[in-house]
Amino acid sequence: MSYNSTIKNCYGSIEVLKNGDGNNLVFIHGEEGPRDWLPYHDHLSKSFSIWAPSLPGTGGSQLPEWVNSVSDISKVLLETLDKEKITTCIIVGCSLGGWIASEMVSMDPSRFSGLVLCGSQGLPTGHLDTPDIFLTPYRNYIALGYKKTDNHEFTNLWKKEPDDKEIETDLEIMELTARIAFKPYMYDRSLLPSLSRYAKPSLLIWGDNDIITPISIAEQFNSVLNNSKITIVKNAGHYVHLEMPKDFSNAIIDFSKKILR
Amino acid sequence: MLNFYYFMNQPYIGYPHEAAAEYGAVMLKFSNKHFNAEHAANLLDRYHKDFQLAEDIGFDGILVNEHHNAPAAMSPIPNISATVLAKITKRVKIFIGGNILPIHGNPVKLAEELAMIDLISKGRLISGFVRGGAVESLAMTTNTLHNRDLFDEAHDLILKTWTVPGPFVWEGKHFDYRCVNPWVLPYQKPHPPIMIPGSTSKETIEWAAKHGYPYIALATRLEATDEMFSFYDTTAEKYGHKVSYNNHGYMIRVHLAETDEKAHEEGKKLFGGRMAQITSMKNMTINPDVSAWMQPPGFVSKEAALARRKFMGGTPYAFFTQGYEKALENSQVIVGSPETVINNLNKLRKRFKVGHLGISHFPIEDPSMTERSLELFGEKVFPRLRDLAQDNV
Repeated sequence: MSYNSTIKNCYGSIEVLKNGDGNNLVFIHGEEGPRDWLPYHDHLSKSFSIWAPSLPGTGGSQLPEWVNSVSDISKVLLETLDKEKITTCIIVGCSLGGWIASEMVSMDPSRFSGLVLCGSQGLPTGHLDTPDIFLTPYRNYIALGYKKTDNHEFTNLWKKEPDDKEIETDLEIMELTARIAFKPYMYDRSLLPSLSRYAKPSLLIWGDNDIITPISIAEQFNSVLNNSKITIVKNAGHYVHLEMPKDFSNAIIDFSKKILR
Repeated sequence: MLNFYYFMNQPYIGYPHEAAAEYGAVMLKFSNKHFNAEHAANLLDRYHKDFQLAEDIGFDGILVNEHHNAPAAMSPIPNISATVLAKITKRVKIFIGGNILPIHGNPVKLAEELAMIDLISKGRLISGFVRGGAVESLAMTTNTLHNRDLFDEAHDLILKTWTVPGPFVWEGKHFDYRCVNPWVLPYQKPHPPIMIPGSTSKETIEWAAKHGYPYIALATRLEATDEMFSFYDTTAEKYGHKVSYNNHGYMIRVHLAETDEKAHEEGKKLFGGRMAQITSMKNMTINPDVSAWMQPPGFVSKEAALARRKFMGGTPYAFFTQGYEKALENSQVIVGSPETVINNLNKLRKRFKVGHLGISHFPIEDPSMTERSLELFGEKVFPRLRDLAQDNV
């Protein structure tokens, strides 16, 4: 389990889940929303000090009125890291969180000793049949990000009858996603060129059955990051961190051993 | 005062129903590969003739609207329909009900387009403004989260463009212009009348009342309509507007024949056949994605989502799925001889204190039934109802 902390920054306040010992690891969730402390947090907290904020406008985090883009979100999170005096850390971002992590790294590269992206959004897929979160019922879209949905990894988190709090989280994260990623749909053409200034090690974790951000997206990130590697997780869809938490965590732990040596 | 407006969606009739049933929806992503241009051109021609007929038989206005990505309406740019009307009719008001402000993208250009229609028609434009259903925003990939904001700002900018001499600068939340100064301005002063059609949104009723704009209820359920107009009246008065019959409008589907018996025989066919065709509801499993298209992120408040259930029975399909008998019972469709139609419309007029009645019918492959219905409307219904409406003040 973790403890919740509310960090006041100059724009408002951000809720952060914290636990574990070791080097700092900042985890940015995506359009799956903040869903409390999950198995991948638990695995990672055995090797790192986890710092996992709820994105502005979700969970207990305030949404500043002016926030309308991934870049705006990044400013809020960087300011919150300043307030926490986290000046060195690995940053991990999944899906929409990967896009935000990439933006943060391109804005403030010296803070981050390593970047881990998992099924990151932020680039056009070039596939017209890519699932669209705004044209699909929310939980059906999330299900498309799993290779299998008939196991407890899926059903424990995405119950058939979600309670009021879970529905509220669905609505909050959907609104935030619309606010920052509606048009262009889930991408920013300046992301890739701006990311090339980041020269420290990067890891790209991708599920071999990711239909939301196909492997070609990982290859594009790989082509501009100066020191990066792709790790494919077998039998996983888009949300590798939710579907295969152990494989996901182990890949990050291995990566950190190499860069923190 | 009682104004009658002829309304028709200009549907694309004749797409393959099996394809629609298989897809489970007839909107947004139902493929346009089934669209036949020659057939569509002929239909539009026919609808323009219907509009002329509506003027000939005595309607006060013709109502056109805007929809996208759906065979139910081949009218994605109502200003084009209105421009056609400006040239092919001579007398009727041209009611655009309305331009979907959040998706237009350029309010100043829209103000110019509407001014041109008002000029060409020599002051016959009634300009409706709507937020549009969520699917319209999705069809144009316009962020549904900002729909109301975009609507409000576009409206304010259009009004200023029409009424304040340029050039002026606009620095808004969503729109920026360095030089607003169009050299086309409306024929009517200070600007064309504005009316707001709507069905479910309490926020929209409140907004219309606040501005004193007439609110046109689109075939809403009777009890809910009482409630809506009562809320409208209280709000309008709160903002200093004197409410009269001119502030209320109601739209309803009507079919007439010489006798009640014949009208019902035809009505059942039209309702059952045409309505099932429009929605492809018969034996169809609705595509699960449709629920996401109805309420994308931030499109309506929680209160509005609840109101939708109350006013329309949960989904926009409720009108069609309730069946013919129920639709008659709920007075959501009026079918009968001229006498029956006069009585029923008069009841509605008195109940809702409406000064504007939108009349739509059921366009089908063979237009003769609906043409006869329209003719009867002109011959029998207009004179009596106008006479009965002398007490509309």
